[in-house]
Amino acid sequence: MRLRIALVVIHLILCTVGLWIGHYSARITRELRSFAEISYFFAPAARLQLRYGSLTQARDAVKRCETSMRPEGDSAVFQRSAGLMSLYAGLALRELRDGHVPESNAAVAQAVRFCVELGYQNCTPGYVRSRLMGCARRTAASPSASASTENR
Amino acid sequence: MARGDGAENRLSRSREVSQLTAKIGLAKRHLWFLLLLLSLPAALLIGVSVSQWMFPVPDNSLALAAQLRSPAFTAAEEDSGRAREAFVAYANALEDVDVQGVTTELAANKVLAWAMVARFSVQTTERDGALERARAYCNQLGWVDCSDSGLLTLSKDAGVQVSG
Repeated sequence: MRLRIALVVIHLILCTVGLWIGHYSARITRELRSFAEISYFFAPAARLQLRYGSLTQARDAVKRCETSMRPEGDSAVFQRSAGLMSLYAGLALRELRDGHVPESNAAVAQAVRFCVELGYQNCTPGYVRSRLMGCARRTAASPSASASTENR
Repeated sequence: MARGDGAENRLSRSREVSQLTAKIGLAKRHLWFLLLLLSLPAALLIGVSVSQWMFPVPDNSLALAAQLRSPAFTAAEEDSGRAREAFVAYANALEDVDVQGVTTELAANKVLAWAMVARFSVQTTERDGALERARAYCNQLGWVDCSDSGLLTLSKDAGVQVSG
């Protein structure tokens, strides 16, 4: 009798372990997919629009990125915030180039918001303008740079 | 004498029957033990299956295509002969994406993917074919420069502008 109870308990434990394994693997898969979508689909598309699309397209692309990116797991959340911070800095630069100063400032404010979300220090409009927009400006000005930055 | 033989026969038959019964009992016990052993991994599998049913991961062609992007750019960086092949695989995976509501993003990524295929194509026909496909998506997006040179420039600048 005692043996039977022990066997039932072992079966229940194994079932629970199986449930946990399935749940955990599904979570990992979703997180990886989310990470891939954010890093290699939405953000690159928005960067292309920032550079080659019209200003309206660029604005829409960044906005759509913010709403479409679905973070699952910590790494994807980080990826989303970092991507959006960089995209808003790029948008701020684009707005500035097209002569839209208030819109540029608004984009800088959004970049600051995501910078804070990331937990970085010195998240000020000055930092966004000098570092992030400066970086975007440099890359935009050097079209012959290699594709190595793509894979960072 | 005959009566004695009959009694002996009955005794030996009942002994055989009891031995057989004991053997069957032992076999049954072994069978149960075997079934219980087999049911242990089955319990684990049942748990996994139930959790897959409870927490399904949808088939996502978008993420699968996205995962091909990085290897393609790595091949491009190394400037290896595999670059074209890798970008063709990536571009085709993008063509197979079946997700609603990402038309613009999809088109933008396809422009770059086909432009990269064109950049690494050696044969003129392959290059022109890839440029045509890139141009179709470029026109769909309404970008300013969808000429051959514009698309090839885009493919060369890709590493920079994508890094942001």
